[in-house]
Amino acid sequence: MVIERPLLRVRGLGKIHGPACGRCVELTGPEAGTNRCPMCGSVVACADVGFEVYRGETLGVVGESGSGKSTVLQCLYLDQQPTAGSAYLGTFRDGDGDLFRTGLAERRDLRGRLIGMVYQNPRDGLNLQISAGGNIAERLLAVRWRRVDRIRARASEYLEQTEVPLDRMDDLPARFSGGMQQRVQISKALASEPGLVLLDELTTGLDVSVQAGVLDLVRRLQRRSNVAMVVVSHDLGVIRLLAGRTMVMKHGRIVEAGLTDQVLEDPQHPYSQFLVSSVT
Amino acid sequence: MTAPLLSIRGLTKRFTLHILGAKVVVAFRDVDLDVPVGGFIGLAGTSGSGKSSLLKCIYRTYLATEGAARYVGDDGETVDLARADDRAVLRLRRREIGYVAQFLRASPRVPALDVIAGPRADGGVGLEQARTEARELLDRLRLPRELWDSYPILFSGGEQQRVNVARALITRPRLLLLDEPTSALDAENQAAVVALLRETRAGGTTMLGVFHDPRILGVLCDHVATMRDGRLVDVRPPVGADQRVRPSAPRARPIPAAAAEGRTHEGRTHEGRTRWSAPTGETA
Repeated sequence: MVIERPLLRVRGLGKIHGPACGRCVELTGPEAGTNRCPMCGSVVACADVGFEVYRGETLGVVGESGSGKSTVLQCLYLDQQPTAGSAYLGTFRDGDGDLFRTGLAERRDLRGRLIGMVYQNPRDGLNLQISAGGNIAERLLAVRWRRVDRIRARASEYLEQTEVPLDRMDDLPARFSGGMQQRVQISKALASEPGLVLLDELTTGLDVSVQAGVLDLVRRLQRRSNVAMVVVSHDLGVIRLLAGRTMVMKHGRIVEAGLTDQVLEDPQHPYSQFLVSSVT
Repeated sequence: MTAPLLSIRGLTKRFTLHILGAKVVVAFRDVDLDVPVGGFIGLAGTSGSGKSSLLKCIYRTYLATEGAARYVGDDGETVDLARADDRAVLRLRRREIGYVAQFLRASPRVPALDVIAGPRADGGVGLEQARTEARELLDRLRLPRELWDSYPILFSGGEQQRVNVARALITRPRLLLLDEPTSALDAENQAAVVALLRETRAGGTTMLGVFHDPRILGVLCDHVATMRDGRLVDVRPPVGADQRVRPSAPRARPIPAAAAEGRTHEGRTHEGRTRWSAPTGETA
């Protein structure tokens, strides 16, 4: 039997906002029913988060607002510095380098080339004051692409893939619809061909018909490439559509993980049961 | 006797419903059943007796509470489907184990043809080849051609059911789990599905399937396992099977070695008994 090595390994990831008295983790979580430490008032955004992601697969993360799911993504994209844990990416220093202990140049490489991020709000992932093509160029320049013709070709390629009309390439995304902004953000994240793409509530706030277009786009990309994705959403429909495996988070902890259909049809944890029964 | 493809021992499924004050509901308990390589075992019993839950535990849509479902993979390794890690189960689903659910759950906005071709294309053949095979299957299943490019969500129950069957058959799984795949079909379409299942079995697919119609059980299955109130109470050749040529099975579990040779009786025992026994797919 072939032993497949994970693309991403996350161990003991934690993020505490506040003074952290040392008992924060044990005094918070789903059993405690809070993520605010009763001793010191620190907020445990997430703790003891561990999981693996393999090439070509999509891992779903569900949970309500404040469950810590976005914190996990932001830590992995190095937007936030975690207070505990480690993460290893197969494409980074042969899988031996902890992402959370990296220097500036390495961070730029991780964020620009090895990992892509799609934020809920396009404003966080795009510079709305430079053109759609310019946004993609910015990402490629950050990882030392230098030839303008090649940058432009790559930008067109990915805008085309995400069905952004090429005649809008030189327009400012500020003038685009929400759905089109999201597609530009996806092309930007993918343009450097990262092995791992993190997607945070990518359809939240979009009209239903526009959501459908964005989801179909992601599904096509899943089929066409071997990219691994982590999809964070509070929408179980999105998770069912995109993810093969799913984790459920509550008060900063993973309370359940399994095959997506199992988590949705036979949830084990009381909170997962509550979550599933709330929508179906 | 060769080892069974699937060996179920002491399998039990209890649901603990936390939102109802941790109420415990038993779906089925202590099921022992062997599914021999190349065999076709039918599952019978009234609604609520645990048949679908048993299939879902084997496919791992449900997590079994106790017991084992040991499956011998193409690589010769035995995997306990009740305990295997998620990745291993996903790999088996992609390559070896198929499941036809009672109701089609297809991705939205994907035309019927691609709903079927998709899993085959994922398995490595080109999309065009996969579509060609999907067209053949849909023709066999008598799905009107004008529907092939439409979304299955718009189809009738019977049309969706045939899409569902085609999607599972196209990958030619080693083990196929069927949950009432003919329940919404009229007689002619039932016959088309039954003929295709027989052919698929002749091609080497082992099957375990829930059917309510005793005539279909008779045509397709070597043995019928009957469930009652969450227990497997009886395993025997289907009603009407020729007892002179088929050694009778003990009434209790586990199922006997005789099941392994079930295929040799197929066809002959049921000849002329039903309209489905068109001998085109026979191997015997």
